[in-house]
Amino acid sequence: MTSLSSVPGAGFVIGVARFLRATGGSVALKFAFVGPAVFLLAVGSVDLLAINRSQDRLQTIADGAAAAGARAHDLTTGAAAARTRAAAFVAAEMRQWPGAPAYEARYEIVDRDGHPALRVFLRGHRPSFLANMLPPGGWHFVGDASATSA
Amino acid sequence: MFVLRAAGSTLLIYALFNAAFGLNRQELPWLISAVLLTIGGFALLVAQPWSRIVVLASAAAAAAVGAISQVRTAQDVHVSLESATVAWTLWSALWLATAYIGTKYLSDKGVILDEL
Repeated sequence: MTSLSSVPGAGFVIGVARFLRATGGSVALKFAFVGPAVFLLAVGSVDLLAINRSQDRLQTIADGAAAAGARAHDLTTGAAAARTRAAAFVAAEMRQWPGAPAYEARYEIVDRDGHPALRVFLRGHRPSFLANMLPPGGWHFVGDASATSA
Repeated sequence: MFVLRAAGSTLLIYALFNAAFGLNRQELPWLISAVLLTIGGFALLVAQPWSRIVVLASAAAAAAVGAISQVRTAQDVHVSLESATVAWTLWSALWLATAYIGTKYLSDKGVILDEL
């Protein structure tokens, strides 16, 4: 009489049966539930931090551009030149920004307390996580600054 | 108590994300879903007899309410509605599962049943 273990393939069958009867591994099961959530939250956190930093940097660029344009030219007589100076400032800063977001810029002369001021409005855009779906279409952020001539 | 605290804190993190969506897009339903998840998270953390129903109801309501903003924003930016729906389903399934697992460790009297 031959024992069961000597039959070809019996080891595999015994292994499968033992696997199906196993009741351990609850930690692995919990990890399977929690793992994707933790991963997605980590990715989302990185995304939110990147957006926050981009927002800060875009605001700094807007501040600098408004100041550069307003200080270089008299806004009463040289509004066009001031706008051009501000636009050049923004373009130069964006070139130096690795992985810069897509942006739209608006340069306009506004009235601030009876004095003309150069307003720089930058609207940035970055794709969001989960294939640009949370939120759909990506993140939007703005940099808005105005400055008067000295 | 560890599982309850972990699940409750995770719900609060999800609330933070939904609030970020709502503030970025100026969409009220996302902000409402953030408030609902905050309520659910705190209900789980305090572990009271009413916690189970509050957590499950607020998590389900947050998923439903948030979907309104998801669909509306997808239409606004001309993104595929199907993809946006799938993304929201995956996203909300994560906090629904978190809420479910959290409530599994609550008894009807609000006492913690088992520990991890």
